[in-house]
Formats: sequence, structure tokens, C-alpha cells
Amino acid sequence: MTIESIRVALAPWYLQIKFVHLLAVMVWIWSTSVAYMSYLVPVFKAWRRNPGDRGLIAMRDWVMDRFDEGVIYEHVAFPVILVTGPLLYIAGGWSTGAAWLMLKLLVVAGVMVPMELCDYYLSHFGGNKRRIRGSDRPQRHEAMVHAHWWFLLVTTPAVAVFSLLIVFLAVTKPI
Amino acid sequence: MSMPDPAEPAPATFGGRPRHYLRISIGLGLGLPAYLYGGMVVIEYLIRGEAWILGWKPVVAAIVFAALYMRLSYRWMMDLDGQLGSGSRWSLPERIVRLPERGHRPEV
Repeated sequence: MTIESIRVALAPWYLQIKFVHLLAVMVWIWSTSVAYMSYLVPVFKAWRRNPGDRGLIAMRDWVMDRFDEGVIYEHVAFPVILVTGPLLYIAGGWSTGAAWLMLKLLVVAGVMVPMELCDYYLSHFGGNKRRIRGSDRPQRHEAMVHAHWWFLLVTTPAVAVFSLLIVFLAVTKPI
Repeated sequence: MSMPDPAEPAPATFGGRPRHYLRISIGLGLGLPAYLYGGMVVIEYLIRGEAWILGWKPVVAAIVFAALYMRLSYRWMMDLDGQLGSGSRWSLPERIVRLPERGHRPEV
């Protein structure tokens, strides 16, 4: 089956695929924003100011556990974006001639995918804090909380800037 | 504020310091625009033969982006990590909080 035959088969469904793609992008970008800004960050700030406070550590661990759960929406949406994006590329007959799209794909492939892979690990796999605490490994748990906070510190500016850039490029197609 | 329990080991200290945040911000501020501009040069100029990507506007855009990103990233990381401000407006009165998940409840 050639790309052209796939394009012909998908073309009538372009707008429906775009609907799913946009919906997934919305969930991916915004689903954790309130939990992050209004719950996780204030508690972590307080912990960083008072790192030995047992009450704050308990609250920090609880918030982190809830955040690991809440980020599931984002992490379901992201693969949907990765599947529907190439389908749109094929169905719409796009090519490397669309510079805005190439820049967007560079951001997704080089910035967002590595970032999300780290996030998957920290939230659901080896770095899942609830599971580690259940296995009674306090040092590993503390190390993973620190690793996750490092991750959030480093990626927050990048997520904000590049998420906006992705949406801006897709909507305005400036180049 | 809760008093530390001497029977429990002290929690490990988080290693992030302002100098780390500055280095990371400079590194990402240089690396990300370099990657994006380099990628666009490969796609537009080397693959498609379009020379507009070598003009002054994309170069200036990449440099401005780098400068803004470095400043934004450093300030943002410092703010998130509670490093900015004195913190004097924060109070930490102790409260009894019942957390819903069993795993977070203290042993009785």
C-alpha cells in the first residue's frame, strides 16, 4: 500500500481526524495546569523553604501521588496526538514545503517527545512514587520525588514556551 | 510547623541551587534555538534548497529567542523553587490534616 493510496483513503476523514487531534492537544496542554499551579507548586515551594518539616513532607508526598494520577489524562492524550498528527500529514497532502509544520515537528520530535518519555517514567513506571512507597524503600522514594521536582523545574518554562509556539504555528502558519 | 522526629532519619536534601538553574537556563537557552535553527537549515536549505533560512531575520529571531528563554527560564525556575523573595509572608501553623489515601496515613 503506497502513501498515495493511504492519502486517498484518509482524505475524506481529514476534519474528523483533525477534531480528535485538536481535542487531544487541548487535553495534553491544559489537563494538569490547575493541579500543577495551584496545588503542587505551592506545596513544593513551602517544602523547599522548610525541607525538614514532616507535615510538609507528608503533604508534598500526597500532592505528588495525586499529580502522578492526574497526569494520566495528559499521557493518554499524547500518543493520540502522535498517531493523529502523521495521519493528518498524509491525509492533508502536506509536505516539507510547509516551513511552519517542519518547525512544529522539530519541536515535537526534539523537545516534547523526550520530555514526555521522562515524564512517563517518573509518573507511571520506575519513578511512580506511590508504588515505591508501597515497596518500603524510603530513600528511593525521596530520590524519585527529588528527580520529579528537578524534571518539573527544568521543563516548566520549556512546556509553556513550546506549547504556545506549537499552537501559534498551527493556527497562524506564519512561514 | 511540625517538629522533626529524632527517631526518623533526616530526609535527603534537594540538590538544586541557583547556580544550577542559571547553568541549565543558559544551556537550554543556547541549545534549544540552536537545535531548532539547525534543523530548519537542514530541512529548508540542505533538503529543499531554500535560502531564506540563512537570511538575517531567522538568525535574529533565534538569537532573541535564546536571550528571552535564558532569562525567562532562570527567573521561572528560581520562582518555582521558592528562591525568590524572603518568604516572610508565609506562615506555617500546624494543622491536623486527614489525607484520604490509606498509604499516607501515619501508623497508629
